[in-house]
Amino acid sequence: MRDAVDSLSLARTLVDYNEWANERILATADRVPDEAFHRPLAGAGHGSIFGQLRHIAYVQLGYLAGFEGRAIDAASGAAAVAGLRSGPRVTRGRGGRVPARPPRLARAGRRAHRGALERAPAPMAGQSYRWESTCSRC
Amino acid sequence: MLQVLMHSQYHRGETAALLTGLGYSPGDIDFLFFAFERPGA
Repeated sequence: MRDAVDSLSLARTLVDYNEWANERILATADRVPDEAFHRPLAGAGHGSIFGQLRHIAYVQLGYLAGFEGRAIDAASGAAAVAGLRSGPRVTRGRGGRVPARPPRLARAGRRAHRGALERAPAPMAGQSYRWESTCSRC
Repeated sequence: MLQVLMHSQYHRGETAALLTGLGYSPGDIDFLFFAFERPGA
């Protein structure tokens, strides 16, 4: 029992770290101008900064879905990709005001992660689970 | 679960290097720095 509790505690720490590191990468990518964000880069296995982030998002969503025995759905995939950027890169709106940015979407994924961890003890115990490759989509 | 977390870490490292190459470093995102920020974690 103690081992199981320790494993859950470790899993929570690793998932928290995943969120923390994702947030830092996304916040940094937000500072990159659009052209560079989409620019093909040598060394980017998935094409560009955007491609890299999209791949990470799809893989994480794909596993989450797999833990729950389903495939990733198109709506959550599209929402994740849309949320890789915080919003229009406008620095000044009418009247010189700085418009509020739409909320970043990655946060929905964070909550989903935490929920999936609580609901999916089987994969943590090393048991098999359904996983469908999502790489072909990204 | 470990696979998806480790796979993500690999690609985050790759992406961090690319961002740094563009002049936008994410800073140090090593686990150690997360642990320093959250001693209870």
